[in-house]
Amino acid sequence: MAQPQQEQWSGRLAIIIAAVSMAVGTGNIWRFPRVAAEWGGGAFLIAVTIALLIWAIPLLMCEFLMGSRSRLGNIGAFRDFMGRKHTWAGGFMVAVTIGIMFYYSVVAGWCIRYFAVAAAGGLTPDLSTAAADASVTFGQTQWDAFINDPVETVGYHAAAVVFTTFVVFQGIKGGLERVLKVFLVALLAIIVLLAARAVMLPGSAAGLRFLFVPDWSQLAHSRVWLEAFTQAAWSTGAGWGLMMVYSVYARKNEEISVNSGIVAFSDVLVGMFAAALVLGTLFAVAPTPDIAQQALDAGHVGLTFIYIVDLIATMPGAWIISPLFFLALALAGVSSFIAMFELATTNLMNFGFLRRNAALIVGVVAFLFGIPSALSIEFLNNQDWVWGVGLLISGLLTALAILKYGVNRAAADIDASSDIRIGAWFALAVRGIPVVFLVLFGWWIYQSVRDNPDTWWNPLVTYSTGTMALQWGIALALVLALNRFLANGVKDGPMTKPSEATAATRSDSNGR
Amino acid sequence: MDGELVFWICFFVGGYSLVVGALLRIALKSKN
Repeated sequence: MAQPQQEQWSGRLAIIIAAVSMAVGTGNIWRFPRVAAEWGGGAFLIAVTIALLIWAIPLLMCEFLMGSRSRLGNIGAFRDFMGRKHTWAGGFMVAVTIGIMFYYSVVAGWCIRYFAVAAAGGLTPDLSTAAADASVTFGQTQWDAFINDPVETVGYHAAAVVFTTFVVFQGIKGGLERVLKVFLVALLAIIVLLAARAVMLPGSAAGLRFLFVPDWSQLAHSRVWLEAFTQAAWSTGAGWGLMMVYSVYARKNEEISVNSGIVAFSDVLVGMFAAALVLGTLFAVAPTPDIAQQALDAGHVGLTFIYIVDLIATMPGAWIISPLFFLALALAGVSSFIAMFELATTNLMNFGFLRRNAALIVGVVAFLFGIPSALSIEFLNNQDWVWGVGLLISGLLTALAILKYGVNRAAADIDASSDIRIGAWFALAVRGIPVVFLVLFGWWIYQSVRDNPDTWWNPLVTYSTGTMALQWGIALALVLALNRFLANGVKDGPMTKPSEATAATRSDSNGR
Repeated sequence: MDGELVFWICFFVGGYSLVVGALLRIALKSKN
């Protein structure tokens, strides 16, 4: 029977747009500004640039090579690059990214909700009637009312899942490509517009100084480098396995080096605009620099859904700035969620499911497994911690797959289809990734133990090492136990070598 | 805004924009 022809992006620009939309997520808007301001501004940006060259871009290239050459999702790609015995590594990568997907839809739902409320004028209160001595601000009241209403949190989580299911259901060209193109253009236009507005506000220069003027003394602190490498690893999507899946639908011999560079550098560039928007607005609108600093120290949720809501409400033009800001956040969140959803769908399709059935299954599972995060922010924080750090392991596994395949062979493959020849640097960087992993991973574990000296081992504590070890251990045990099933269940790709059993059967039948 | 701040904004935003622009130009002109 003839195999159905594999779907494909319409061209090189389409896959670049999809990959940039994948990388640019909510973290660019609510993490990057906070971290950059805290860790030395321009000095941090220099450290991030180095992290892009040493960690993010080489890993994106590894993923691009694995997906586009194996033409299979993560499980199949690891099987064909590392050997059947190591198919579990692809399974682990899928488990980590799906772990993130289960709460990311909830976060995307928050953004959609805030956009909807802002668009209806619900985030621009009449400040003249607000009590001057109110101990709880308008933003805090809004957030408390929302997060404690399960109908709303589960409802908006469901909205994010239903929309994404519909997009992925339509396929690569008819669904993802069509939607992501519009999302990315709208997102970039809004961020640039709001950043330009923020820069022109009187007083914004104080915030911009935090972001751009280097505090060179910070480069001597190891923490700055660790934060920069963590930012580069999480924000660009390197090691998530998402680029691997998008490149499955690339043309045969798709260019790798330049495409990966565009994704990584664009991600940081968008982060800079978002940071100019957030920090410029904060320092221009906050009544005192101390309040601006408090907002930066308030974490992702505190900054975005409480302080920014309060501060934008006091600005002229809040009726349009507020919905635009949350629309940007929603577009960034949903476009990254689409990539995670596609990862789950593609891997399921490799087991013989039709796209539409696979998308529906992933939609139902994503909705059900997202409910605990929708109901409990503590649970969501735990999942963010466990699978966020788990991404570093996925990054390591990707590098190990390329080392097993042959790093020089991979470099030659990349150079053969690339516009610029950077194979030598790629080979060097990939060899260094396990070392970078050990430092980064060790630091996160050390930090967890240091911050929870009495409870670091306890799996029931949100940010403990014990909870990570337990949940990774369960995922690892599961994929190791299922290794043979995964290796044999995934369809064959152009690089697939026959299993020993199949080879024996073939030689047996040839002998007859 | 003081001159130092303007310089660093141009350095980082301009530098990154140039890199992304150059890579996009290579991508769009390439026959790959």
